[in-house]
Amino acid sequence: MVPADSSVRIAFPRGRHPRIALPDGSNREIASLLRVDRAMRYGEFIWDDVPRAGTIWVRIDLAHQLISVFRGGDEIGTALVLFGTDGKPTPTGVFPVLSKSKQHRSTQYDAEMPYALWLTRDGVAIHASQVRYGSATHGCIGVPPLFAERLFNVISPRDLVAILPDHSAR
Amino acid sequence: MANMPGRRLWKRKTETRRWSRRGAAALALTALLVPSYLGLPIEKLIAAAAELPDALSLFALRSPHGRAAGNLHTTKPRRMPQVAMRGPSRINSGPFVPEERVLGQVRMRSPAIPALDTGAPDTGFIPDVVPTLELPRGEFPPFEGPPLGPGGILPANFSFTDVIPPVFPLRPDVPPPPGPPPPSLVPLIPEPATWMTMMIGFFALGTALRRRNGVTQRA
Repeated sequence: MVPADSSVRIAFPRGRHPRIALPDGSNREIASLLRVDRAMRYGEFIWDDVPRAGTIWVRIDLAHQLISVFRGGDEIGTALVLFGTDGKPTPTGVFPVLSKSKQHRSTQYDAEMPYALWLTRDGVAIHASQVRYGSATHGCIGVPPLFAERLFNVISPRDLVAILPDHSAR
Repeated sequence: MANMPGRRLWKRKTETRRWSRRGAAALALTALLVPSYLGLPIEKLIAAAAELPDALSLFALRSPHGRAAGNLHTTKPRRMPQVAMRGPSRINSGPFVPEERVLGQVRMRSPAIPALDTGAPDTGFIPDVVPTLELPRGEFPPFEGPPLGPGGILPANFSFTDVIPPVFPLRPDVPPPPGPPPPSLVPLIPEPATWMTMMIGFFALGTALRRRNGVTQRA
């Protein structure tokens, strides 16, 4: 067992784990979070898997443009995301991953969507995208390609993805 | 008698334990007394050690916060009929060029107000009263050219009052005289399409009248 590096993650002491709320009203216990002491840049990501067994789940905060991948109570990855706009907003709620497709090509938009994790039956997915300032999607969650590959490799169908609403939505 | 060394050893162990306990207590007392001696409140130190960072504030720390309004482009262009002819996707074909605006309404930037050189010291703000333009003053140069009167450019009976409407002084109690009605925007001669519509209508009326009169065959 590798000791937790305090420069990489902020570990909460046992018995004092905070709980964060999900859109469906449930709570999740947090054992540790990645230490990011500055605002992240678009397209940048942090990945630090923990050598422990645990269920993968994903928290996406549209108000903060953030995705956080958790293994059990430990955060193992984070990045900034793209999401849909007024015309095609990203749905919020808790979605189980329906299926995965490593190389998906959108026929609707004629675009590559590598490492797609399907969340809804009408085509909303988490997929690799060119995450940059000022961009948006047609309702999907766009994540940096290398981050999408790692997330694709650890997540499995029926794992939960919680999408928190964008409170600044107009 | 045979258990004397063992007994002595046990006694020594107990002594060591006792002294180590006393040492730990002294250390703890020192740790408590030193901050108070230095003027630091112990309660605050304990609270600071017990305080944990809030998980949600940690999320907010790493985020650029909410997305900026407007100026958003999609990364994926909408599918066009000719896209299939063009072959592979445009994602890997060169630098990213946004093509589609997502928001329906175009947000116009307010026009930039040029800085006015008013001669006043720079106070850091733009005055909302625009100084009027300085018109040239003094005598106009004499008109040189053909005479305006008889034999000149203008006819002999020309009067400037024919051209320039008389100017009435603005008085709030006197209503201004009614001027000429504004010119109608409808041209006097109809467009060809209007003519055609009218002619077709006349023919339709004629046909209907002839049908009603029972005139079906020409004489």
